[in-house]
Amino acid sequence: MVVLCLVLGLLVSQAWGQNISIFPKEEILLVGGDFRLRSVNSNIAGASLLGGGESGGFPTQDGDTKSFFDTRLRLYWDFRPSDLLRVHYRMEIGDVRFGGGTEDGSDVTGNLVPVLGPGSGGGVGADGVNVETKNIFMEFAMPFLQGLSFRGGIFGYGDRYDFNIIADDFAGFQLFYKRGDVAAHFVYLKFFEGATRDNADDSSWFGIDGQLQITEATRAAATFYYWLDQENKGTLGSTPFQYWVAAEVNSYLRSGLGPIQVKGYAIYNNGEGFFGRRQGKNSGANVSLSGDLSLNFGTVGLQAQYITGARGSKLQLEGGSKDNKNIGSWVSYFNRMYQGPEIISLGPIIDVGDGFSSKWGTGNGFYNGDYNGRLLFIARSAFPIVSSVTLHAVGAYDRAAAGNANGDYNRGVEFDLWAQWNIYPKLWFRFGGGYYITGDWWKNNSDATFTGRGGGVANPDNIWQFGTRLQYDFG
Amino acid sequence: MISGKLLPLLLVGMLGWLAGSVALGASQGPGLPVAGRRYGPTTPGGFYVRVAPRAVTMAYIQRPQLTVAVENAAGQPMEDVLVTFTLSEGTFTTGSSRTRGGTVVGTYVAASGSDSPRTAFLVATVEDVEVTIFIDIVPAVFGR
Repeated sequence: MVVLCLVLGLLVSQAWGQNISIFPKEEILLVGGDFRLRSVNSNIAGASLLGGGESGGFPTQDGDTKSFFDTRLRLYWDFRPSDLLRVHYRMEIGDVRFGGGTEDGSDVTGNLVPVLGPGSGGGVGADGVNVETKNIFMEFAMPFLQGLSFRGGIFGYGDRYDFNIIADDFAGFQLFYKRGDVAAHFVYLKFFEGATRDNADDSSWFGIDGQLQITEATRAAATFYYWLDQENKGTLGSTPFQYWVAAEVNSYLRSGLGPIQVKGYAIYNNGEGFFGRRQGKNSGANVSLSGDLSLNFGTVGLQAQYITGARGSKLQLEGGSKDNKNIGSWVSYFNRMYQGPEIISLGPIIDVGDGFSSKWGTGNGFYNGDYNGRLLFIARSAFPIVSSVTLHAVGAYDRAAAGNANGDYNRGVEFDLWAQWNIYPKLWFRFGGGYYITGDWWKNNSDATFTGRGGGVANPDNIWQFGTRLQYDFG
Repeated sequence: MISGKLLPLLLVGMLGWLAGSVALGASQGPGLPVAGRRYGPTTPGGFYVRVAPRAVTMAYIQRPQLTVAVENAAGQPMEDVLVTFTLSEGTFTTGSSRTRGGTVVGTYVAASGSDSPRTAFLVATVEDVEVTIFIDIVPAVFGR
């Protein structure tokens, strides 16, 4: 009650002080979006499931070549009475079902309408076309403190690490503060059912993120996430939880060859309950350092990343021999952690790659293989061939930090090559592919299956993927 | 007649009113065109440089406006000072490369088709002082 009165007092005083008589009629603005035509060809396991393989890829044995083609339109609208307030709406239309958690559909003629992407998007109509609302939220500048703003509704939350498990089907609110050298936000999110539904996750997510410009060339940032897993509260006799603490430094340095953008981050994770499926505690870390050098003829960059892991397999962890044990594995729902490789990560070429690192992997809280951790080296480059075309080349060495159940560490080597052609200012075409030479880590590995509990295959294929993407960006 | 129970609540409410009024007054002060830390002095001009906003998070489709302010030691805006920009990607379009009213204002556009999350940077240079603006580019919609 005391807090309520305090807040009311604040609000009344501000309403008095703002002296806003009435908002004008709302302007309706198309603030962005894109129209995309995309094709994918791949032999990644899973590419025949869920409509194209965005649900966690891995090598399989004698896998077939799969391909698909899809169309999508996304539009973002603002309903804006003034610069102080807006209601934002994002929608999409396509010939796919958006939402990887459901089965493929079909239109009235029986043609397959594949499922793409995460989440739980709506079904298709009889004509095979899908319309979905992605986000809708209100955002306004808080009157009592300059730089403070509020957002509430249904929206995707991502951050500097692309922490996007909570990208779909949740509601929440977010407070932003941005002034001078400081930027910060607090977010509270909840899967969108509350007490009105009883068939979905009931977890709560909290996040605080802040950043500060330390010097004219260096910025530091810190992030904290807390996940209270209410859904599995009764399963383990306690409330499972996870938290992540992160620090990041960005710096722009001068060298004799040219400017270098240096980026380093460290994320520590700790929790208990393993997402409600297992007893025990977990802790792990993810550390990365990268540098990109700008030269007269292009850019070259290097990145090294280490993710802690535990020896063995998820099968051993869940099956009993490691139950109730504390493990040193990185538990994560981060995406695109590797910034370059098409197959290892959610790739930049067509933006559809299964990505070993994808959160849509085996669904156990670990990436495919990240129960064993990672040691990853990436070399990347970009060269403008002509003013409108840039060629990108990437190489990556992928190794486990701890051995799998068979004692193997070597995961593989990836090579990517793609080109970006900017046809017109907002119309572009990207095409290229990636090739992954699988190492011994994948052989007979139960982690390299959809459930993380299968037997694995004896002679996994090398993986390849080729894609095209033609896109027009609105806004 | 105000009951004994309501009185403390009323006082707290008034305290909130007062605090809000003070905060509002502070936020509505005249201030400088660009707030935040200033860097310098530059050589040989002896100018000081401010940049706003210092923290930028944007979707690749957005077009944020960035301002560089140049002033003297006393905080007075300096006219006709050359400001140059270096970018890691995209374009930065200004109306003038020299300060007008003490500022150079420009619009940043990320590289076309670059919807993967990353951090870009823009370096504003005034004489021998360089100030880096880090720009976090995030997908407009999370989840593909």
